[in-house]
Amino acid sequence: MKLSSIQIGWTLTVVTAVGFLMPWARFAPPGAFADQAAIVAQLAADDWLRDYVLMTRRDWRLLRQNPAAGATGFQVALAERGDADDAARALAEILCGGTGFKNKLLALIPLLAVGGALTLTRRPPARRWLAALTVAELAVCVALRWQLRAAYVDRLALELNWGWWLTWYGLALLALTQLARLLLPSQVKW
Amino acid sequence: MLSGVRAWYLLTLSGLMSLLAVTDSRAITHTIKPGDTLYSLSRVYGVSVNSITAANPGLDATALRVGQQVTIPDQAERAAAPPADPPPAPATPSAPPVYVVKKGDTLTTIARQRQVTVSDLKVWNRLTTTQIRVGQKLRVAAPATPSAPAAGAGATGKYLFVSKVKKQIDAPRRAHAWKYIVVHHSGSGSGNARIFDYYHRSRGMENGLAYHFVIGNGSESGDGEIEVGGRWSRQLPGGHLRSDGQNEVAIGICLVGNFDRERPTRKQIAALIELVNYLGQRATAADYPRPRFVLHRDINIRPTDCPGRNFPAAAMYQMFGAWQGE
Repeated sequence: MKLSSIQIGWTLTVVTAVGFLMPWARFAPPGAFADQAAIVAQLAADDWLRDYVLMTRRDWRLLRQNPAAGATGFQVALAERGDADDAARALAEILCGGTGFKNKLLALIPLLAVGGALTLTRRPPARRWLAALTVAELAVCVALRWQLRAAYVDRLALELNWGWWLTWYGLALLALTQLARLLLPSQVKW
Repeated sequence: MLSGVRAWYLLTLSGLMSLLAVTDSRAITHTIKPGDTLYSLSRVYGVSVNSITAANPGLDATALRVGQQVTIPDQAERAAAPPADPPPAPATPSAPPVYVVKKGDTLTTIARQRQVTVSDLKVWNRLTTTQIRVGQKLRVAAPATPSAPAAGAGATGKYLFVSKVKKQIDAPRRAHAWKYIVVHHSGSGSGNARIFDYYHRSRGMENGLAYHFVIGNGSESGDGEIEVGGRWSRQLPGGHLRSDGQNEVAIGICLVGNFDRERPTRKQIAALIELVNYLGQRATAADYPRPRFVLHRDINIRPTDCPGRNFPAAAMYQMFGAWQGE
């Protein structure tokens, strides 16, 4: 069965939106900082593929532990300053450099995805809109991973859960789908 | 979702139980701060994790909440603790320095038993992973210094950042009992030891560079490059704190950068972790207490933001033990 770009786009939009409502992060149990030699090795390594695209082994391992626990993407976007024990606030500070207006921008993620899927649906696609949304989605994906990379030791206090990864990979794959549609000639049906 | 709700009730229940628990008047009540763990509390107060959990029935070690009250048993309580729950054997000189791995042991459990870090065990045993096997002999104490213990025999092991300046760090022949390792940021986007030395001399500091170590950010020195200052080589007091008394006993490490605006680079943090560990192991090897890690703003007698709001303070205190003041 050959899937069209519209089917793929809407599936990835649903994945992104559902991920946004699922747990993104929870506080790590004691011991996250015990293996300092490994932390130093991770910090010293320059591996852009692991930092910007893939998941680490630790991230993958954590997904199997307590998948229902943690603050959702929605809660991260609405986190307020002062909730010191709030994993949502801690992640908001890592991703957005603070709480308040900045982290509310995270709520644009599902809107971007819906916008992207709607633009894909239109025949022929509005190329300018599709290009703008693709660039915006890719920029969001890179910026989020860049912030996680820069705040690596802060991030160790948190464990990223299913919701975060579904949202991130959903949005990234949607952007790539849109990019592929954009690069194909408009007369090609996909 | 259901497990999340259940976990919430368990958390609430354990919190209430710990609040309702009758506390011994000799015990200390600690309020959990961000980054606190039972292990870090055990290191700060010098008690075992077992005795803290014994003093706090219902406490879930994996779900500490900020603001939660935890009872820390005092020395007398620890001494009188029943033999069924003895505190882990401290890594005293009388404890055997070699441990034979038994079934079920992990580096973490062994490190906790001997009150050392997993990192220490890896360095002392030249382990590259946390894999150990039953029957394996592990060194569980710092290697003894053969002759002059304070002369910087240092710790053995492979270092990514310290190795380049290990000789310089170990060069001082005169011992100095440092109590603290204080971390600063330079507050400037660029710089290196030579530039700061010039600046501090121009401000009237006859010994020049006020810090013992400078860690570069890739601007005027390498990213994560450790530079050893003259005050370390001559084991002179620093000039990095307002109080002369504190300068006498505090090693100053400056990370180049303004961490109110930017974050320290990954390599700067990696170099800092290594340097703090190395200086700690060096002190232990020389029979001195391990210097305590503290940020400039937490020890200075005048208010300061140094080392900036973007410095990963909670994470670093979780690594090296929370600062409770003196």
